[in-house]
Amino acid sequence: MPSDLADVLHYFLPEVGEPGALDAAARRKRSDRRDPQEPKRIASLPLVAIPIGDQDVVRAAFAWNLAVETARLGGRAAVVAPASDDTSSLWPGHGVEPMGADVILTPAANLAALYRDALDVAVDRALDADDGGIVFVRVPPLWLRNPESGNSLLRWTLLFTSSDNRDLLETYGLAKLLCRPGSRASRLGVTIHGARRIEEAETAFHRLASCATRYLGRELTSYGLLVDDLHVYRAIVAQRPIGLVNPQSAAARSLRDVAELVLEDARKTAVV
Amino acid sequence: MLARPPLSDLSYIAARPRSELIAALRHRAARLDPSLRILAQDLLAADTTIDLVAVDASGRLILVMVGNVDEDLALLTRALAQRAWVAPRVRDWLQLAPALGLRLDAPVKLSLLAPSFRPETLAAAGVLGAEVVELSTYRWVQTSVGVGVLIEGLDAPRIGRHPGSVYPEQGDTGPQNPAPRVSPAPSPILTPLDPAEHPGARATPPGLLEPRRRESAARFRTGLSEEDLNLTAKETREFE
Repeated sequence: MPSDLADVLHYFLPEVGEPGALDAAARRKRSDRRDPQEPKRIASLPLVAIPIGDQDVVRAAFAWNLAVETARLGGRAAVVAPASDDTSSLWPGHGVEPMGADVILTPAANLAALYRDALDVAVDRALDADDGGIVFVRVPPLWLRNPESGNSLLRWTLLFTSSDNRDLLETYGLAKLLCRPGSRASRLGVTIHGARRIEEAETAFHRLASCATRYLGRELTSYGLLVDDLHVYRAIVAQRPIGLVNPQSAAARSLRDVAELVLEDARKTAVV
Repeated sequence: MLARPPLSDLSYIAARPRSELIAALRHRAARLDPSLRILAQDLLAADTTIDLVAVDASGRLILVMVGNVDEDLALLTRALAQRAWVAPRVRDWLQLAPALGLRLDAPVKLSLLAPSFRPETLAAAGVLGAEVVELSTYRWVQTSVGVGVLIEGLDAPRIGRHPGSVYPEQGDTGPQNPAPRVSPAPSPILTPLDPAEHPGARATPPGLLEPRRRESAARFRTGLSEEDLNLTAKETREFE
């Protein structure tokens, strides 16, 4: 399991061979951490909760694109989100399901209901998930103010943040909210987006991780970084997956790497 | 900008150069809402310039425009024209500068400042709604520590409902006109006030130097506030 950015820095190096492929050393490192036993048939795909504001088109796009990349890597993937008129612009239109990664809108009005609906999807998709998969769940951040009823949904959370101070403060605050007494949050993942240099992303993650350790007594898990470039925003506007629109771009490669990290952990976490 | 001097030491003064006003607005914006980012100043748009272009924490674009005395109605008209010019260009701006974090689905908002707003301007703004335009008045003031700008946002109920101006016109004492927030109601023309002739000008209500803080000032992109996240001062300082 990656615990810092050192595991993912390789993708900034010139790639040799297949685009998006990991270098040999990194592959060996990852395969060494895999469970040597054959995976058992899973009963339910893992749920990854992602707090996304009602108007946060960028984070919603990241979540959807992660689902698409997960599917491209061979896993089953879906995004579950509460249906709301205010958030209809967050997701691609009906019928847009690249690689079978679709967005499922539910009438859930609270965390408990959202958890039940997401679990239904997770169990359903596990039936033919021979190579694992993930159900990403969009959680309205305002619902986190009263998480007690839907604690189980928040066991594994992925937070997207830029290296901007205000964003980092907000992300730290979300981590604090998720770690309140009685919380079941056991894995807090962080992906840095928009970094212009590796060092910037490293610094941002370590600032967060350091504060989480010192003030919350919790460890954060790094899930790499996403490179924002023009292709990301064009893809968002066009509502097409980044990995399909421009698979050779740094943005697509970084997205694939993040998806690999998350899927790897999901395969170890799946309920059997 | 302004420390908190004794209220008795405050008096209204004549308007200062426009450049000083814009600089004061930039400083005040940063203090009131740390998440508000000023992107540009004097941006040439539809025939004229936009004083300030900013983006708030949620990625919404805000156009700040300042008018002089008796220019409030023209200011609103000009602002609407600028907004119409900017709105279809946000997508292009996002392509050119993705790091701005602009939201394509958020309507461009206007923030207009003038010494006063007449009833028809208030009524017009009321029709447009708070999501489109917010109005604030500004006054130059002299205190024991220096000169500054007093900015007061107009509450939504005062826009479009009350027929009276925030600052009643001279001789207008109709009961339908609401009492201004600053007492006594100053003339809309800013002139140095002689204390001997205008002793009332030194009587200022409590909270004058603390402009109404907009609720959105402390909210993050997620809509949660610092209070929701229970952040301590020490934790906050870690990310400054």
